[in-house]
Amino acid sequence: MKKTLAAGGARKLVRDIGELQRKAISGMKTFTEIEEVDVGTAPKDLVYSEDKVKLYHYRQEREITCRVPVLMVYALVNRQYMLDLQPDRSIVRNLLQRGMDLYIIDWGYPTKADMYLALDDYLNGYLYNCLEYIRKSTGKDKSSLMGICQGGTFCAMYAAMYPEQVQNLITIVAPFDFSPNDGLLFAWSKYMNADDLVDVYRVVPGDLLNVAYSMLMPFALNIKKYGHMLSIVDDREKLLNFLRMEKWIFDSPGQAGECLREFIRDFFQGNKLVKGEVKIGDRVVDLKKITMPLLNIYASADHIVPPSTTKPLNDLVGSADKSLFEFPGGHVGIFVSSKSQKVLAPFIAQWLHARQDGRSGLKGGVVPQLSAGQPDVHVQVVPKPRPARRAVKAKLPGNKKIH
Amino acid sequence: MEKPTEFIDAWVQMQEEVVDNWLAAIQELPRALPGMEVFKGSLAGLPAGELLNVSLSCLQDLSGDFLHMQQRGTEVMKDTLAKASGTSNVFMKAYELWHPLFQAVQDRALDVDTYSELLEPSEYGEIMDQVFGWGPATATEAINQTTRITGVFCGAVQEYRRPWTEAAEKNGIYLPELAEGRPDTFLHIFHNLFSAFDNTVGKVFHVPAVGKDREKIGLVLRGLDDLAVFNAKYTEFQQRIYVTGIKALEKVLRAVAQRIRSGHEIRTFNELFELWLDINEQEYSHAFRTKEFSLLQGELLDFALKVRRQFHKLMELNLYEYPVALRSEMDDAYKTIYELKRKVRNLERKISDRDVEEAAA
Repeated sequence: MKKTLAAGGARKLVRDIGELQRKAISGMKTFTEIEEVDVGTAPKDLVYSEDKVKLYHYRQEREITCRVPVLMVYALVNRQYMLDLQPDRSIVRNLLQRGMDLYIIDWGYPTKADMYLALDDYLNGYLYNCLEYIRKSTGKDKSSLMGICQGGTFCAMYAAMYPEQVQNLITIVAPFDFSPNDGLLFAWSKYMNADDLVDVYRVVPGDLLNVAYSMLMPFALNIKKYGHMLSIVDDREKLLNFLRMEKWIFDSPGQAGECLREFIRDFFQGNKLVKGEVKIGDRVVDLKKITMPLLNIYASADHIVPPSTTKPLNDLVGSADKSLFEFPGGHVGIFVSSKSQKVLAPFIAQWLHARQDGRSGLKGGVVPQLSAGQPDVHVQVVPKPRPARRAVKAKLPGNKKIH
Repeated sequence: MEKPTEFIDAWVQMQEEVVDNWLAAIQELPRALPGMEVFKGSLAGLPAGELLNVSLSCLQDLSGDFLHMQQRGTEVMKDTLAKASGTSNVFMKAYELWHPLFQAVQDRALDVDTYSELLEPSEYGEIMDQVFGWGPATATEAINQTTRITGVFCGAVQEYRRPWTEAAEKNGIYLPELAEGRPDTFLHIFHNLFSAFDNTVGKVFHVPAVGKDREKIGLVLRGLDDLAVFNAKYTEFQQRIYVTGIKALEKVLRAVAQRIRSGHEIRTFNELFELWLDINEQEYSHAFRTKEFSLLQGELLDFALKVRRQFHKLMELNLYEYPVALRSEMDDAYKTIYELKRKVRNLERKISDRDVEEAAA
């Protein structure tokens, strides 16, 4: 019979502590041998820059099979290299291998000189100019937008304002309906004085926001994670991957004051996007004007942007070809887990390939075909309902469903 | 001088002559100063008249002393000197009495007009009252003032005592909770004591300063005030965290007990650690999700920002005289740059649109 911890497990406890110490000493050696924590290593070229914003074009060493260029837009609050965090778990490399022509925006690190930048500047200014550059350099009138987190909200708003420029819209773990309180950030932001915050800081430090993020799951993010690190500390590659994630988590740019003020006030507190009341510059954002194919991806266990804030987009847009993709994981795992590499990136590539000629994936006969053996992935492709016909239900291999 | 006594005799005689001459001069003074007789008569019954009598009395005392000294002879020189020392007060009185007049002579201000002013009985009386005045009216006023000051002081003591008494009464209510060891009790007690301090001693810190640094001192004091409020709110925040931790620990203990009862004892440290982590995560997540916590966090942020804002203002004031760009100045510069950039961007876009239109045409 095994001894319990309370009754005579002291010897086991001592052994555990001894093992821990051995790992810690071994880990110190591994730590000192790691000189650089490299991230975002997929080869790319800086092709356009404006103020602190940079547009990179990924080098495609294979044949480009998807003719519509894809611009990836990340959130302002974290760095875009999350999509290329480590070579073997990189959405970017994965998409490149599948013949995509990829661009990515690096919003940079705002300083106090950028304190007056508003949403108008980010969308009607920088994003517009980046797409303008891609249009001129590729000769393609339209690009596909792939927005992540807050970048997804940006892309949806941009697609609503300039539908003629956007071929396809992909949003990944992006919030649209800010009314639910099941995400702590959404609950807390409603009682935050955005005006005072911005007036005092001008550019709100990323570290301040990181404190809030670490409070979302205080024990998992501040204790459990480092406990886990001790178990891998003597494995150089695993430790390196852990450090890459740590680097990303704490690499938080400051937030330009005016933009953050608008985002807290009009989105988190006013929930104006779903009400059609958001005005960017002199343009009102009407999500019904999103008529291009939409792929809305959410993570079922997302504690930062809960599904309840993401899913409503599909009911608000005017697209006939709209898809809702549920990924079984969290806000970060959706990019770096092994599952995301096997499932998410291939699916996105397939979805885009199917819509590169401006035709709906359904109408064009190209239905996303996912390989079997991925039981956790649910896909809902929802065509615009036609009054004369009943909705057709069909099953894809595994648990993937088309309604 | 063959003997010392001869010297002393001569010295005393000389002093006698000086005093005699001085007395004679004083007696001649009314005749030397026109209107002195009138002056003397008109002062009768007034404080100044009394003063004149006192002065004459002093002179008589003085001359009497010298006469007495003369009678006793040189052999009692020591006693004489002692008496001379003892009568110094008389000299002082005389000096004080005549000093204004002598001063006027010295300042060469003793012209006809000054005489007239000096000889105006009522004004002279006024001057005398100012110099020596300690009449019944003054005494009455002094008593009144003293009474008033005492009253104010007693009132101030009452005002000082009351907030502390009230705080003590309020804190007395919390004693049972304190005995229970409830951490929020400390916050309430601190708050009551701080209020008492703020309404008594603390008022000194709220007194508006004067002069050039008035604004700086005001900011420092307001900043301290805001910091105290922030600390109180932060204590409340920490208390919420602490109470949640206690609840979580209780749940951990219950979970461990439950597992022992059901025969699933915890066998490793990791198992216990994981259990502790999971329960704490759930408990804190639940606490953070409440509206009360969101409100508290919002308030905490507000107070923290208020402290920071005061600090920034203070920095601006202190750095104003130094050759560095101030925050507000840089704000203006950034604003100008930002607006210029927007103008350039809009103009570039207009040019681009026009080029496209022209190419299409």
